[in-house]
Amino acid sequence: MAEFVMPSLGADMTAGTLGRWLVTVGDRVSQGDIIAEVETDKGTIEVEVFTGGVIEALLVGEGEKVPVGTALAEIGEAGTALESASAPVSAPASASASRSRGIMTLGGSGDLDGPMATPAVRRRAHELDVPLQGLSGTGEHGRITREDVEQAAVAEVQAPSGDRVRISPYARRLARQRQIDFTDVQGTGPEGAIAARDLEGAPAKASAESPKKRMQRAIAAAMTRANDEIPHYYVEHAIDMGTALEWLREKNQSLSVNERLVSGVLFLRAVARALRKHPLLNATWQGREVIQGDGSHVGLAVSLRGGGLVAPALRDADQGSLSELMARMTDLVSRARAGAMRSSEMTSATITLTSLGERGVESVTPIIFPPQVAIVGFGAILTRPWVVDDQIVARPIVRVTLGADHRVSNGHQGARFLVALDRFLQEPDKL
Amino acid sequence: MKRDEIRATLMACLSDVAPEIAEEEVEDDVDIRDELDLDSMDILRWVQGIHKALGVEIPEEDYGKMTSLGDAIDYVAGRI
Repeated sequence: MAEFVMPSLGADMTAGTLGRWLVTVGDRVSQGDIIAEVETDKGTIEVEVFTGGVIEALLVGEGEKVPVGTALAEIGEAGTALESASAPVSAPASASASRSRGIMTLGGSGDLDGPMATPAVRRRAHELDVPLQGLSGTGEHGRITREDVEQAAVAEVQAPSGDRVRISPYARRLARQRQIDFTDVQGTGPEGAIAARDLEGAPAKASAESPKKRMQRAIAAAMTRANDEIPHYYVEHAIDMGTALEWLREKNQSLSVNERLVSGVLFLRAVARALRKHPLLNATWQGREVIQGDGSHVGLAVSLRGGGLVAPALRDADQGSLSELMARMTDLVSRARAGAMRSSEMTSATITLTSLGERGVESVTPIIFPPQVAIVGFGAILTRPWVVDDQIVARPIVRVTLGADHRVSNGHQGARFLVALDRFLQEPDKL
Repeated sequence: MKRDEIRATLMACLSDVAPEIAEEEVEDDVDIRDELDLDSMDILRWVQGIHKALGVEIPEEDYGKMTSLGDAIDYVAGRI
């Protein structure tokens, strides 16, 4: 049996709140499945499971805050656990498992405390943000049906004041994310239910700290730590982007609008390839130890338009075609801005790429995200005088700055990394 | 297609890219990259959305003709 624990989703995270379970006892899960949402200072993170099997027990209830490393669920081997789960599933559950902390278990007593529903119904419930716990099923043997879920989609819930109000699931999720007190909100939805549009202008909970403030606090803590603890060194290099941009222009002419690439994907791929060649920059510093990275996972600094900054990882960014990388990058940035990042994206990067060129600055001197050991900043691609074959010509130039941890690498190695990056960008057709 | 219908479609496509942008804060004559903090990936997604909604193909070299919402409406109106 394996334990699914509260993950560390950042260097400064010591505890997290289990926001929501997306599985219940008896569910079969595979490696990589998203099984829970954890609320952190960086927002709500979808947490994946790294062990396949059957959920035997949910040990922590929704809304509980627990330290990193706390066991959240027990996962049994698929074969044995499924056998033990099959009997209770075929008949209404006796529901004798502990509910004292929203805990559900399966195993020792043979009890099953999880609502019966097909995977399709569970997916629908997830889409509509309807918790299956407590729903009365109208299907065979009390099984929850799609209609049960949809009818429950607009249901009475307890407002922060304690009053019962009707609110749509989406509005409820929005209110939770924005810490809105919807007690006195006038609903304009079906049967007077509160819809998302009704939340505009509604007040925040009196004692609540806004997500924006929490994120700011998390960023401040991480950057202060980085500045205090990491002996940064910097090396800078100017790269002629003429060949890469010409290749990109021709490439995009041959592609449909949905397949077009942006220069950022070339930067990303070049960083990932250079990282492979320079393993000293592909690591994390944890405690007093260098932990070697296991792939080429590059964090992308994504600014949130309402304020704030996140840097989820694009894993194995050196793999696959540029078109595939472009699609993955677009998806990652979209999800980061929508607050739908995954746990594996929060911890696996060893280096971060930040690009402020589109905001017009010529260069950026960035601070490392601990426990990573490097960060690379791209400025704007600007037309500059450049010497080619002893002639001064106008070329598109980008200034790239590497900030790295001097405990792990040195300027010589950093310089070699930037030169490798330059070489990759001179051969865009091979990226 | 009338101009206000094109505007509504372009705004809907923009909302898909940046849902946090309120329609009333988008004026027709301001630089949308600068004012709305859009980057090249956002612009590409916007162009893709316009293509899907209206069937208008916008080549990369014409992005510069769509710096403001008003410019974009004029550009699209000329190609429907």
